[in-house]
Amino acid sequence: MENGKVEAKEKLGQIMAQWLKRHLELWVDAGILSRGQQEAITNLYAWPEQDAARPAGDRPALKLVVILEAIGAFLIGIGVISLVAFNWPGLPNFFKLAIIIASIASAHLAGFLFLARRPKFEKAGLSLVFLGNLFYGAGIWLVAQMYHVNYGFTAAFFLWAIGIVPFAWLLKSELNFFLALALFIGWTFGEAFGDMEPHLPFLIILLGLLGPLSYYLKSKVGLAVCLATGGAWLLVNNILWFGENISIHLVAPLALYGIALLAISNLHAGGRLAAYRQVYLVIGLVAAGIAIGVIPLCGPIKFDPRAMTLATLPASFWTCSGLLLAGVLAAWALARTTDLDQTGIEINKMLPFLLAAALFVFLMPFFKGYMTLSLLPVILIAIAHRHFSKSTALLNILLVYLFFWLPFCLIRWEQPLMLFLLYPAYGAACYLLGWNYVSKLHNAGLGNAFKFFGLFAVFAALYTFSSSEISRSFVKDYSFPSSFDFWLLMAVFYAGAIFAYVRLAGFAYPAHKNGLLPEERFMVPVLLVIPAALIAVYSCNLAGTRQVFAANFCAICMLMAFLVAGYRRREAYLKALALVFLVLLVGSRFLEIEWSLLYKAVLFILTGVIVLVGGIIFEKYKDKVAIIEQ
Amino acid sequence: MNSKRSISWLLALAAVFIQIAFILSIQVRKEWSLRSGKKITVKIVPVDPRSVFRGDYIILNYEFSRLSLGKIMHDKAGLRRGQRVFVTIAKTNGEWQAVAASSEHPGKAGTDEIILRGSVTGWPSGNSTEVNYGIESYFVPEGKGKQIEKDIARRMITAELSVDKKGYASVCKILIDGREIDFR
Repeated sequence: MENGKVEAKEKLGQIMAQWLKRHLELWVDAGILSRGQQEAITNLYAWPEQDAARPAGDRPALKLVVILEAIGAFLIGIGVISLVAFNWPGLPNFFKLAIIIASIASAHLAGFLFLARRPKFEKAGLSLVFLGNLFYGAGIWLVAQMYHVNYGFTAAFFLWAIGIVPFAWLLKSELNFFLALALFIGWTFGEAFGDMEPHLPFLIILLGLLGPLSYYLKSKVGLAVCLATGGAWLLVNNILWFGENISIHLVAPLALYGIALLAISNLHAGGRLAAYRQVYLVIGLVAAGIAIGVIPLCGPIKFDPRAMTLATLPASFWTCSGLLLAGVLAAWALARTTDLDQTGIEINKMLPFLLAAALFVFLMPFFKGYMTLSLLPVILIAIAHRHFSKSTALLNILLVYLFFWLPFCLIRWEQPLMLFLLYPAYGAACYLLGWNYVSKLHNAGLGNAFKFFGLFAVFAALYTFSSSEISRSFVKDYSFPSSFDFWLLMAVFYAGAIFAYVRLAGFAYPAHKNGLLPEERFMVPVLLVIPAALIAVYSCNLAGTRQVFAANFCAICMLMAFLVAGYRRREAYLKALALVFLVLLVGSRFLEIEWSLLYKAVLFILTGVIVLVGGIIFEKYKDKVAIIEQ
Repeated sequence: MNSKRSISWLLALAAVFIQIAFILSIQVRKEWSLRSGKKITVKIVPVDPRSVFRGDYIILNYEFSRLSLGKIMHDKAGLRRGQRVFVTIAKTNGEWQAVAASSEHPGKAGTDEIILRGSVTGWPSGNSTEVNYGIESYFVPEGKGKQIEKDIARRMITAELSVDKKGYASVCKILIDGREIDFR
């Protein structure tokens, strides 16, 4: 029995491993366990991979370099596009064109030189090529501007994207592939929504170019984006095919698409393709989950009498659904012959139940009025999952799902300014409380959850204040907060944050592995100043362009600091959160019509140059950067 | 190994040239069309919006952008949404107006007639349809569009167009009371 356990070693997650390792040391120190017993317990489990076993490209310092250089190049690129859009009066068009073409050539050639002569700066080289590709886009828009060509986004996006593909392929550059991917996505949805007609050519690009390219570049993220875009494309094009008479049947192709991906994941069970299996699994689960989850929500909703019925559904709908169903069945039949692991076997057994739940959509119109009956498909899946995997996870999710299902349509949002003044203080308190859990109470699970929610609140508040339009509406409705509750909450959050910060005084990196990094220690006090500063600015009637500018600057610094901390401490949630908000912030400012294009250009280019140069310097010293080992 | 490396460098350089060639090909085609084309001046009604990629521009509305199907000669088959269309415009009473529309190039245009190449936008409804000629935007330095918009009520605003043999049109300049606007 002992032997059996050792053979089937249980895999430990990072958090659990960290906890157990520390406690084993404590128990040995306390005399509860001997060294031998400690070793026996250690050998009982499969421990997560150590850094030495990681491939070179997976090193966190290198990843940080890549992300810094990519952000820098991206900022410079959109800065130059804004500069082109500013349409400098008095500068001859041909001069502008010559500058752009020279910039394209020099960025690419500088990138090639880095790649060829300085292997140490490989990532810098790829970022410069990426910059060249952004300049290429600026060139297309410049010519459009020079000759007053009014082709919309779409044709230009296609031309831009197709010009980038050779670089992604030749240099095996994921970064450049992502840019092309984003532009192709912009192209297809621009075409579809522009003409309000289904856009079929994208299917050829997706299946013939983007899909194979993500396999060639071994890009799992690229493949995930391709698969997710495929689902979105299917949904949007079906909406357009349905026209004005949208009905619940619309979700059937998406559900079948998700199930098809799950079935295809089983075709990736072994060999070289195994690495991509997870991607199909996750995107398939999300697509099928969303589609099947939407079916019961339509129970409480009355059906529109003009909506499509089985007899009037468009031929395109039946073609889509038929092809996808055939795909599911084919993949299912083929996967039976290969060796599957536990997950694969479960998916294989669940497929008929998932199909039944998806096809339930055809019965929905007959169940109108019987709200609870509409829950049948999700109940069916949860019970089948319980039966096959002996896990109650889906049953738990079903309970959470019910929570959202019942008040559906009753949700009413209110958005008072006070909420966003409270958020930075609330976020800081939450974040530091989380740190207390991690550092002092050794409860990393709960601690990380608190940290995540805290930062989310902070970033959301900063993002809100960085928009001039929202800020103006705040100014209009502003009166000095007189509510007792507001000040009480503010006091509690400040007290909590300061208390937690003081308690953490001894937990500073590098003395403590689980301590705050210098960038975080600096940012928390700044965070606490924000609400007070904002109240002062609003009360003294000073809110305006400068305040919005300061909020943007503050948000960028804050996000960069937490991004760097996330990479140094290798915390995936921190990296993801900071990156998502960074993209959101920069994207919103780029699209903001009110700002002068010249100011925008200068702001983006300056920030971009600083970040890119910082990234390149960082790349030189990457081996000396302190990465916190868990 | 070395020859394989030099081939991939050549390919990378070729990719850079492809990008530049793409840009220059649009530029050269537009420039040729602009220089070889016949110049006409038409009345416009401008509106001022902004594009994040190309900057401020004014939307130009022409009389011949909306075709009254009852008043002109046309082949009905060529007037579906998204379809290419050739519109013949002629100068009557000092203004350029549409006189015919067809899905194929009608060949030679008469004296005082111009053939424009466009595409049908919007759904042809009742007796009229919208046509886009690719000359509906004029990009201006930031902030200058508003100024022109203000002038509409008081002044006569026209655009000088250049139309080449194949029917491709470009906007050369915008004129207020017959004088070219200087944006400097």
